[in-house]
Amino acid sequence: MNILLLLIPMALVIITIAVWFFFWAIKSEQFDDLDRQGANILFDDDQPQHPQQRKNADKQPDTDTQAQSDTVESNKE
Amino acid sequence: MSAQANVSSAGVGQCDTAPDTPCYHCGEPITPDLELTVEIDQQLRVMCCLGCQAVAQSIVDNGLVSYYRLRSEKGAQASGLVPEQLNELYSYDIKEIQQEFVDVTDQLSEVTLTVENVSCAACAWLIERQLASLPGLIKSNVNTTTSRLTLSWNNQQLKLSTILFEVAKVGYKAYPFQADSAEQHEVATANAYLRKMVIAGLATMQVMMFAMAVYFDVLGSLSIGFTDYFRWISLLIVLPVVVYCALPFYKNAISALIARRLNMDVPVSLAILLAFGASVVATVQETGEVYFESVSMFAFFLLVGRFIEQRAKKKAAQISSNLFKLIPTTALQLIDGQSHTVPARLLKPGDVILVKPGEIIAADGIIINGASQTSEAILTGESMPVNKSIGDTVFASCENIESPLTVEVNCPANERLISQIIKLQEQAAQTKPKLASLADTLAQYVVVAILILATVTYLGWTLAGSDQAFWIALAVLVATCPCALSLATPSAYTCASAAISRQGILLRSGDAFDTLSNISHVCFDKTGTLTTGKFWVSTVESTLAQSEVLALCAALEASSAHPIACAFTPYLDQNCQANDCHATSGGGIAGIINGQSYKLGSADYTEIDLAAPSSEPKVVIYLTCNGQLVATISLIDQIRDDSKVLIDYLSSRGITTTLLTGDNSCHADFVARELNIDHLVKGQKPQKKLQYLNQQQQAGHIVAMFGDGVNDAPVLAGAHVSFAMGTGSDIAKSSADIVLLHDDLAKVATGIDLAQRVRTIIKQNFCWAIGYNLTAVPFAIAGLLPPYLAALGMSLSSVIVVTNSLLLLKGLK
Repeated sequence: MNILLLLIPMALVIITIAVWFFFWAIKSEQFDDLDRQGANILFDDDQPQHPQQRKNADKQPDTDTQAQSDTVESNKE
Repeated sequence: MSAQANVSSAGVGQCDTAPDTPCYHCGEPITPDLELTVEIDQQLRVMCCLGCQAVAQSIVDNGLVSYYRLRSEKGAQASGLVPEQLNELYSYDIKEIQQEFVDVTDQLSEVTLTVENVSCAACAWLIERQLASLPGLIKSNVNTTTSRLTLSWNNQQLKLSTILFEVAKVGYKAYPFQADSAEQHEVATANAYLRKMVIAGLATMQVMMFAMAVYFDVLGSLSIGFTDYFRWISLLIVLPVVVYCALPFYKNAISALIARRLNMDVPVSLAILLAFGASVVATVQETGEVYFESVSMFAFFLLVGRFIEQRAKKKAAQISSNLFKLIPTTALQLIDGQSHTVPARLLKPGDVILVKPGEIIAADGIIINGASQTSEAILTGESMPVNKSIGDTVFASCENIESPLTVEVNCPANERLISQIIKLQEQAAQTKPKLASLADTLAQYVVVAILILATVTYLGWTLAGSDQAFWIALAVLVATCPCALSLATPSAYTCASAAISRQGILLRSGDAFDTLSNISHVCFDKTGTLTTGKFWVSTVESTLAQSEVLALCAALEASSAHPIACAFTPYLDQNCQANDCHATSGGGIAGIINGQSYKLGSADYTEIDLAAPSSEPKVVIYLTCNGQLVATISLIDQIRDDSKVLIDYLSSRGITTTLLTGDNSCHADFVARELNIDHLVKGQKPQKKLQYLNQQQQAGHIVAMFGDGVNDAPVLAGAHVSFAMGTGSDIAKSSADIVLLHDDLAKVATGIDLAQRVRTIIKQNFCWAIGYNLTAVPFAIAGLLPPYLAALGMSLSSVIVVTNSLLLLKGLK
C-alpha cells in the first residue's frame, strides 16, 4: 500500500488543476446564463438569411428543397 | 429558407382560422372582424394586431422562422412604434446622452441594455440573428437569465438607434438602464461564494475519503504511520477551506463584535477555528481526535446556503436594475427661433424651451408663452390636471397635456423641485429604522450557551481528574456547532423570496420579510397607488344608449392626448368617426360626426346652464349635439379593484391604515370613505408626509408605506418597510424595499401571509436544530460522541432544516 504515498499527492495536484479550470470558467462568465446554453445547440442548423440573400436564394431550387424538409419536420411536431 | 409571406388570406397552405384560434405570435385572442395573417412554414397564421403581424412578417422575411418552432413560450404582444418612441430612439444617438451609458474607445462603442419580454433561448437567438446582418456590429449577446443585451459596434458605421430599431422590428424593446449600485457588488459576492463553495466541496470529498478509512479502521491492518500520513494530508486539504473559504464568516463575526453585537457568524467562526486548531494540535502531537472532515463539511454546507441566498440577491438586484430604464430626457431648446434637441441636464437658467403637448417638461421654469394644463400627480399627488398660463411656474418631470408651452428655465438642475425631493429622500434613507433580525437575536443566546457548556465540561472533567478534558470539551463544541442553526433563517428567506417573486413581488432588501410580519400601521399614497391614476367613465346620464354616447365621445377624443380622452379609448368604434376635431385648452373638444356638430367638454365650453355645480369628487363633462345637451358624463380616478381586498385584509388583521396623500381635493375623502381607511391625512407635501411617518414611528408603530410618485420617495425611504408600484416613478422604486411588478395590491396580502409562514418555519427550524444539539450534547459531555457521529448528526439536522424551508416553495400558486 505504499503506493498511496505517491497517489494521494498526485490526486491533490489534479484537484488543484480542476480548481484552476473552475476559477477560469467563473471568470469567463460561463455561469452567468445557465438557462440558455442548453437550448443553443438546437438553433445551429439555421443560417441567418438577409433579405438580399433571400431573393437570391429564391431563385435557387436547392435552398427551396431545404426549406421544404424543414417544414416537414416542423409539421411532425 | 425561402419563407415567403402573404398578408392577404389568399395563399398556399390552409389557414388555421378556427374561430377561437389565438394570435400565433403572442397568444392573445383574435378580434373576429380583423383578418390579419402571416404565412409561416407554409401555413397561414392569424395575428391579433398590426403590431404582431409586422413582427411576424419581419421574422419570416429574415429567415428566422426557427424561432416559432423552437420557442418555449409565446411572444409578447407587439405594438408598432409610435412617433414619440421613434423620437426617443433617435435621441439615444445624441452624444451627451450616450455618455451616460455607453463606453466608447475610439471607434468602438459598448453598451449593455435591458430587453423586455426575453423569455426563452429562442428569443435570445432571434435578437442575435436579427442584429447579425447589421454592418458595423461587432458583437451582440443576449443573456436570458438577466434579460440583457450586450452590444459592441463600430460607431462610425452604425448608430445605436439603428440597432434598437432592428430589435424593435422583431418585437422586443431594448432600453439602456441605470445599474443598481448594489448590483455589481452582489454579482461579485455571488461569484466569490461560488468559488469558495466549490473549493470547500472538493476539499470535503477528499477529506471524507481519508476520514472514512480511519473511521472504519481499514488501516488497522496497515502500518500505523498511515494514520498520521492521512492526518497531515487532511490538514493540508482543509487549510484552504479554513483560511480562504471561511473568510466571509470571520469578517461578519468581527464586524459584529466591533459593533458590540453577536450574530450567527460568531459561533460559526468559533466552531471552525477551535475545531481546526485542536485538530492541528492533535496532528502535531499525534494524540486525541481530528475533526478535519467536520470542519470542512460544516464550511461547505454553510457556503452552499450562502451561495444560494446570494444568488437570489443577485437576481433581485439585476431585475431591479432592469426596472430603472434610462429614458433620455431631452428638451427642445429655442435658440434664435430655431429649436434644437438638447439633453435636459444641460439646461441653464435663462434658456428657453418648447414643450409640446404629451411631453414631459424637462426643467423647472416660468411659462412665457402659451397656456395649457399640466399633470403634476407625480410631484404632488393631485389627480386633476392643473391649469397653467403665462407667468405660472411649471416643474420638471410633469407632463404637459394640452397645448404647446414656451418655458424659460429659472433654476439650475440641482435646485429643481425634483432634486429637492431626492435630497429629502436621501436624508430619510439614512435614518431608516432597522429591526434586529430573529436570527441575530437567537444567536446571542446560542453563543453564550455553547461557551458556558464547553467551559463547564472542561472544568468538570479536569476536576474529575481526566486527562481527556480538553478533547471532551472540544467534542462538545463540535456537537453544538450551529450548522443547522445558521442555515435555519437564510434557507427560509431564500425559499420565501423565490416563492414571492413568482407572484410578481420583487424583494429589493433581504430583511423586508422579517419586518413585514411585524407591521402595525400601513400608510398609502392615493393617486396611482390606491387609485389607477387615470380617468375612467363612472356614470353616463343620457336619453341615448350608453354605448352610443361613449362611442361618440371616443370618436371626438380619438386624436387627443388629454388624460380625459384616454378614458374613452376602450369605447372606440370603427363605425363612428369624427371629422374636423379641434380642442380648446381647458375647455373641451368639438367635431363633426355624421354631419352633426358635437361638442364635448366643461359646462362653460358646451354652453350649458348648470343648476348647481357638483361638489362630488369627479369630473363632469357634457356632450352636446348642435347645441342641445345629449349626455352628462362623469369621470373618476377609479380605485383599483384590489385596493379594497388589501385594506379589508389589513383591517381584519387589526393593522391601522392611513391615507397619506398630497392631494387636497375631496377625492381623498371619497377614497378614504369608500375603502374604510382608518385615518386620512391629506394635502401633505413630501416634507410633511415624512414628518407624519416619523411621528408614527416614534409612537412605537412599525410602519409600512405604499407609494408610486416622486413625492412619496422620502416616506418610502424612511418607512420600516415600503412598497412601490411597478409602474411608479424610478425614484419611488429605488427608495422602496419591495416593488410590486404588476401593481397587484391583492398580492401584498399573500406576501404578509407568507411572511407569517416564514416566521413559523424559522421557529420550527430552530427547534429542530436546537433539538439535535440538545440530544447530542449529553453524549458529548459524557465523552461518548466519536467524530463520525458528530459529523453525521450535523449533516442530518442540516438536511431536515433545509427540507423544512423548502416547504415554503409549495402552497403558493
